[in-house]
Amino acid sequence: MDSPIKYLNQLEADLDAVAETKTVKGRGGGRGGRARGGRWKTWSGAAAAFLVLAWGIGFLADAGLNDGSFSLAGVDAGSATQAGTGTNDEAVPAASPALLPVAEEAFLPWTAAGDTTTDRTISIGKTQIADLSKIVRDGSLSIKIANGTFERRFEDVTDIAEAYGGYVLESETKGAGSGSLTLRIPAARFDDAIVAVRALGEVSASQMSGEDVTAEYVDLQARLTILEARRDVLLSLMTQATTIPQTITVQNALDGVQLKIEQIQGQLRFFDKQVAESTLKVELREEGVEEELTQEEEEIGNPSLSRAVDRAIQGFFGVLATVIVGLGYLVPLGVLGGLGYGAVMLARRRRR
Amino acid sequence: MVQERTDAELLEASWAEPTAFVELYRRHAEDILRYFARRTLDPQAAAELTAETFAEAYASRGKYKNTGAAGVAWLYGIAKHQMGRYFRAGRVEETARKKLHMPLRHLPEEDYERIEDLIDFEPIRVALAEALETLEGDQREALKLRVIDGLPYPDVAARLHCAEAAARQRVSRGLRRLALVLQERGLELTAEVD
Repeated sequence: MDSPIKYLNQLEADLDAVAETKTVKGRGGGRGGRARGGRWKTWSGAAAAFLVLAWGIGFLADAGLNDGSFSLAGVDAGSATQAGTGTNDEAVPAASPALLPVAEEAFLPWTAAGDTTTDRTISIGKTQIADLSKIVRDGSLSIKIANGTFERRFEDVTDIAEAYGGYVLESETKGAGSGSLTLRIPAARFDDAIVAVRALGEVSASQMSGEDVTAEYVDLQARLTILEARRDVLLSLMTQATTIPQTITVQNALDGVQLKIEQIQGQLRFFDKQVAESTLKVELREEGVEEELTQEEEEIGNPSLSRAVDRAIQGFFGVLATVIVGLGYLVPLGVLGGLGYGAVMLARRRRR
Repeated sequence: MVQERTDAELLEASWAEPTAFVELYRRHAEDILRYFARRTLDPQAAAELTAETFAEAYASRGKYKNTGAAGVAWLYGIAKHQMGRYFRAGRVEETARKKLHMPLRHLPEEDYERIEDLIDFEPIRVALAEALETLEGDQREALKLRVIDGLPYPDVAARLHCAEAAARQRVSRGLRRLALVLQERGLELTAEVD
C-alpha cells in the first residue's frame, strides 16, 4: 500500500507484523483455533471463578449453620469449653420438644415414674415448665501435674469421684508419671466434679459433649405404653380362654409382647442411667512426660496410602458439597442478575 | 489471469493465512478512515478509530460468517460500533490494539491536512456555520480560517498570532466539539463510502 497518509502505511506495517507472527505461531493450527482458544480460556476462567465463589458462599453458609447447632465439642488449652452455654452450667436446649407444661404430666404416663435425676423444672413468668429433655453428657480433661505428684493426684481423682456420689469406672497407668481414669458422676454434680478435677493441676486440653436423646426416649416410652395396654388386653383374653389351643395362642402373643416390653424397659433404664450419670475421662500427666500421640497424629507419623485415599475422597466430596450449597445461593442470584442486565440492555437499545 | 479474491474470501482465508487480512486492509483502509473523518471531524481520532477497527476485525475474524453479503459490510459493522463507543466515552478504545501488541501511534503532523482533505464539508456547510457559533472564541476563529476560508495551517497560525502546533490543536479540538454538536442535533456528515 502506498498511501499519501503515513499513518495508514504505518498501520499496514503493524498489521503485517502481527499477521506474520500469527502465521509462524499458527502454522498447523486450523481456523478458529486462537479465537476459540481465547474464548475457551475466558469461559474456563469465568466458570472457575464462579465455582470458587460458590465454594466461598457455601463455606460461609455452612459456617453459619454450624454456629447455630447444639454441639458441645471443643478443645482448648487452659480452659474447659462447653458449647451451648459457654459456661459450666447445665446445658438446656432452648427449644427442646420435651418442654411441656407441668399440668400435662397427668396425661403422660411415663412422667408419672419421675425417677430420672435430670428432669428439671424451669420457670418462665408464672408458668412452671417441666424440662423433660434427656441429655447424655460426657467430657474429658487432660491435666498437667507437678513432677512426683502422680500417685497422690491419682488418688485425689478417685476421692473426687466418690465425694460427688460417683465412682471410677476404669483406670489405667502409663509408666510412672501418667495415667487415666474414667469416672461416672451423677449428672446433677457433674459440673462440680469437673471444677474439682480442674483444680488438681494445669488443664492442657478439655472437651465436653452432650447428646440429646429426648426424642428417642419419648418414642420408647410411647411404644411401652402401647405394649402395656396390649398386654392388659391379652391378660384379659387369657382369663376368658376355655380351650388349650386358645390358651396357647394367647400365651404366645403375651410372651412376645412381654419380651418387647422388657426390651424397651431395658433401653429406657440404659438411657436413664446414661442421663443420670455423666462420664468424665481424666488424663493425668506429670510435667516432662511425653504425651501419647492421638490417632490422628499417629496417622500423620505413619502415613498410609489407603487412609490418604479415604481422606482425599472425603475431602473431594466435602468440597463438592460446599460448592453445591453455594450454587443454591448463587444460581437464583445469577438468574436475577441476568434478568436485570437483560432489562437494562433492552432499555438502552430502545433508547438508541 | 488470476481472479482476485472477494472480501469474504479474504476474511475466510485469513485464518490459515493471516497475511490475507493485510490485503483486505489495503483495499479498505482509506475508505474506513474517510468514514471516520467525516463523522468525527477529528483526524487523530479518525486515524486511531481506523487502527482500532482493523485490529478488532483481525482479532475477531473467527466470528465472521460468510452469509453471502459483502465482507466489507462486516468491517463497517465493527467501525460503527467503534464510533458509537467513541461518542459515548469521548475517547478511542485501545483494547484490540493492546491485545495484538500493536503500537499506539500518534498521527504525523503532515497527515492532519491530508485527512482533513478527506472530509467533504460542502454538504454540511450551513449546519457547520450554525454549529460553529456554539464554539468558544479561539476555536471558532481557528475553524473559520481553516475550514471556511480554507487557509493552510501556517496562515491560520499567522492570523491567530500563535504557533502552528497551537493552531492545529485549536482546529482539532474545535472539529471534535463540532462533531459532537452535529451528533447531538442529529445532523450526520456525508456517510457514503467511496
